[in-house]
Amino acid sequence: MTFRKSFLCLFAFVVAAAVPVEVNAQNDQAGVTHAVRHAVEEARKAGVPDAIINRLLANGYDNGAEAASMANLVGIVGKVKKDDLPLEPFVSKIEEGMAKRIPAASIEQVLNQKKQDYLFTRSVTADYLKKYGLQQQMTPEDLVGIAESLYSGLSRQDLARTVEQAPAGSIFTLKRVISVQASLKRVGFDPKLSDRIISTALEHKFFARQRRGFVRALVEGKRKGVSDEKITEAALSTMQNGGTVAGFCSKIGVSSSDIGL
Amino acid sequence: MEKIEPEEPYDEMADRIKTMIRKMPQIEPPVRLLPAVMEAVKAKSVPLWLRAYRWARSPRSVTFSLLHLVPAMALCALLVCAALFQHGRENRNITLAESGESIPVVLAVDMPDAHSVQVVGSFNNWVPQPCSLNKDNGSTRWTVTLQLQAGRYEYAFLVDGKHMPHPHAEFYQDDGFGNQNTVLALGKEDDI
Repeated sequence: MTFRKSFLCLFAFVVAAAVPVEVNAQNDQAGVTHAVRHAVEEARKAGVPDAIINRLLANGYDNGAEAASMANLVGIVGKVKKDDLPLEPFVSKIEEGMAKRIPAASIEQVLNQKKQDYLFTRSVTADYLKKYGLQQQMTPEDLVGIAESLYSGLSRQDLARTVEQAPAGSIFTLKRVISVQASLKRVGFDPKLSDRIISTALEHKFFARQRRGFVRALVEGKRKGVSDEKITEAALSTMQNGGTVAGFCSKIGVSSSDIGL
Repeated sequence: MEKIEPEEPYDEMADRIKTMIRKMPQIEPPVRLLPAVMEAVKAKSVPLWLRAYRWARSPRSVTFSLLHLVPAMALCALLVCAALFQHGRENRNITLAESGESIPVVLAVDMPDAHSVQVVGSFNNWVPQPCSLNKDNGSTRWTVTLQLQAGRYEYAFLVDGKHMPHPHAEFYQDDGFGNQNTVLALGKEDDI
């Protein structure tokens, strides 16, 4: 993009965001400017902080995005806020898409899909809380952690099934179970065996920070071609006998450097 | 050459003038004459900026010996070294949080054939700079230390400009654009 074009693009954004004037859509440029201004106003009305809007517009300018595309993206963020969903995953996805030079239309598609996934996840977890009569609030971090598992190997059906079968507990624990299950499914681990590993790991606190490499070792063992049965047997034995992650690794032929320790 | 004689000798003329002056009345000068004269001849104050400008414009010659240059060159070299050192530190330690406790995170990857390895992620708005990884001498492992706040991050390596997730990570996810990102959870996120 030439300097002049970049300047015009920034100018359009600034005018749309800051100047309270009526814009007549008499030509394409005016229409586009009006669209950006309208999207910004709608996003503000929905409660999107100015800092987020500015961040989006600045990012669009830096990456040479068209004003019309920016209007659409800001509009989607406004709708996300209206639905009371956490903004950060959506804003970050826009930044990621632009940095990776993804066409704006594809970014919009991904965002719309993500919005539907988040709404689905919120509904499923609300059912879980209602089912066990849990009074705890689901934080935005919890919702993000669970919803993003839909891009880590779990389908909506998998997620619904896992949540339905999960024992009563905290949302935080549920999130961890779902993310581990997604990781194991992603590498093709037997679902029944992964269920056994997860329930035992929860019982013996094997997902704790001190045993950070445990899930990584499970995944790495699978990648190295170790059978699911052998991994499961070694994992259960290690957990039930109070073993260490290093001991588990040696049982399945995974080195410390393989799991980045 | 013919010499011309004055009509009246000088001495007589001088005496006559003195006599005339003595006969003149004694008149006192006006009271404001002296202050007015002094005011007229007083030097006008020049503004500081004008004096500085004139000082800067006035040419002057500077003399020095090579020996005099040594301290200045040493100071310049010191400043350049300090700037380079600081730049290197910034590349290796990226502090993303202005406030709050940050967690040091070391990302390491074995890439023996790579010419350049960088990391992009949600912690740096997916912009590679200044997260270039540094390859230690004789090693095939590229490492970078990040200072991150607790939370959930996605990232990927840029190996010779090509996106790839961390090969030994615990969690991955599709980025929606045909690539995979590594998921990094920090703080209470990874503690049950």
